Amino acid sequence: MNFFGNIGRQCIKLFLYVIDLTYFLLNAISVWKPHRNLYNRAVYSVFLDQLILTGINATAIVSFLAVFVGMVIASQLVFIMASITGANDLIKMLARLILSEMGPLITGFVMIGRSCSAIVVDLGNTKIRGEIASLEYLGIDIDDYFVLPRIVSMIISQVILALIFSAVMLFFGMLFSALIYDLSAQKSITELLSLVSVKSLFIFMLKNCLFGLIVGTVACFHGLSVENSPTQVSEQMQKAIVRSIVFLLLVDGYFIIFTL
Amino acid sequence: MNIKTDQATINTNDAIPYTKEIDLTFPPLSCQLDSSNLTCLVGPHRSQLRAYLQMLAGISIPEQGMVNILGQQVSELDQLGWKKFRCKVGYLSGTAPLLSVQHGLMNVMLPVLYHTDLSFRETAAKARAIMAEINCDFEPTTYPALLTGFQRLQLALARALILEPEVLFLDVPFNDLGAKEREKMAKLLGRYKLNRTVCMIGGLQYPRFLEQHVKQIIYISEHKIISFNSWELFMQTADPEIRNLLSIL
Repeated sequence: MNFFGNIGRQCIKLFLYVIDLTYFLLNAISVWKPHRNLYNRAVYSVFLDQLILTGINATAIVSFLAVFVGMVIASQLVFIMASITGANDLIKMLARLILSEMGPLITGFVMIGRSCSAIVVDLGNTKIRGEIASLEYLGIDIDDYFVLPRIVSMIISQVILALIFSAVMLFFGMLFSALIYDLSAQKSITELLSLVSVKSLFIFMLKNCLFGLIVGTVACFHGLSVENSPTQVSEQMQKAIVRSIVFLLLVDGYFIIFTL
Repeated sequence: MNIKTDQATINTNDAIPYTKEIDLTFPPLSCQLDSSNLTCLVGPHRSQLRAYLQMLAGISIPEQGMVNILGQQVSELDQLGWKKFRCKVGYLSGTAPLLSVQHGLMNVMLPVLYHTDLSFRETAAKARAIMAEINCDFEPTTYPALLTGFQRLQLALARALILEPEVLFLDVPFNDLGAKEREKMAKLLGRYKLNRTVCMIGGLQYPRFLEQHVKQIIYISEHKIISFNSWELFMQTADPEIRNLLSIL
């Protein structure tokens, strides 16, 4: 009985958490009202800072990762395909695997490990030191100044980094496959381009936008959930990372079910 | 009670601050803060004084009663009105620090960049001018963590003044300062109280400042609120609670 009770309580807790998170996001978005100057210089400067931190600074590590993952995946695929059908569907499989799964997911995980944790620590420490309260006294909206620029930059970074990751991974995957299996690189690229449709590109963009939105929102929510103790920072960071991963996989599962 | 709605004054009528964390009794406050006058809230409990100060500054809404600041009732303001209102009310906190991820100049520029349409260059020039006026003799692009407590307070004062507020609230402005630095801070604050309504807490940390500038002292404890119209009257009072407070200092 106690076991089922615990499960029930956890489900209610999870449901309330999702409601809290949604309310937090809607509250943050509600800042954009007709009177709000979209090009607010203070907010824009935070947005650029965040874009550099979460996007531009992560380009090198994402590209580096893409080279190795591309080669590993390609070699495994070549091995499997050769033993089953020959290399007939290799490019098709590589493209599907990378574009719809590996690219967004691995980039999402990099964003969680790199930027989500950084945002939680940054916002948590800022709140503990009372820096957020002092800005509120100056009439600066916390959602406007701290939350929205981080979420928007997270979405943009996720989309761009996933594109870079997928392109680099595909390129090196095909190069490696061509080296091992003696495929024509030109033929492979032509075949690959013929596989990319507007629909697949739209799904890719939508998926990455959602991933960025989830990671950014969860990070800001947990960062601002820190109250007055420094120990809460690590606690909230842990929660943010685990929950971001869970949400990412849930959304990915949803896409797999509805796009297969 | 007759409520005066002078554009440069603050009026309260039986106002009790809204607090959920402080386990103290809050007597209702009825007072008037006039233009060009410095008012100091004193009392045995700083958290209680801060709750009253934040209510007078319009940061928190009164739980009971009415607070009228610059002719506006804070509880009736919408989000946009509140933002505009905050530009007219400066708040310097000796404990709530500057934004540590931004350098000093950017910290001072921030309210202008957020609330006005001034260009980045114009804002920087304005911030540099006010920093020079406040005698900030350090590199403006230094991060707050590398500055002394007094230098950080100078920046906080510049940030509170850059929007040219009509009312200035000082929350323990002498906090964590040495004797020399308190004297320097008192000189700066004395200069900026002109033509403004100024209200502060933590004034007893540097009584000489109150002696020179204060026009009204409001003593607040759990049981009573007493208003004095000068420093001399406050010092001469026979009230045992106040005598006890003064003897601890």
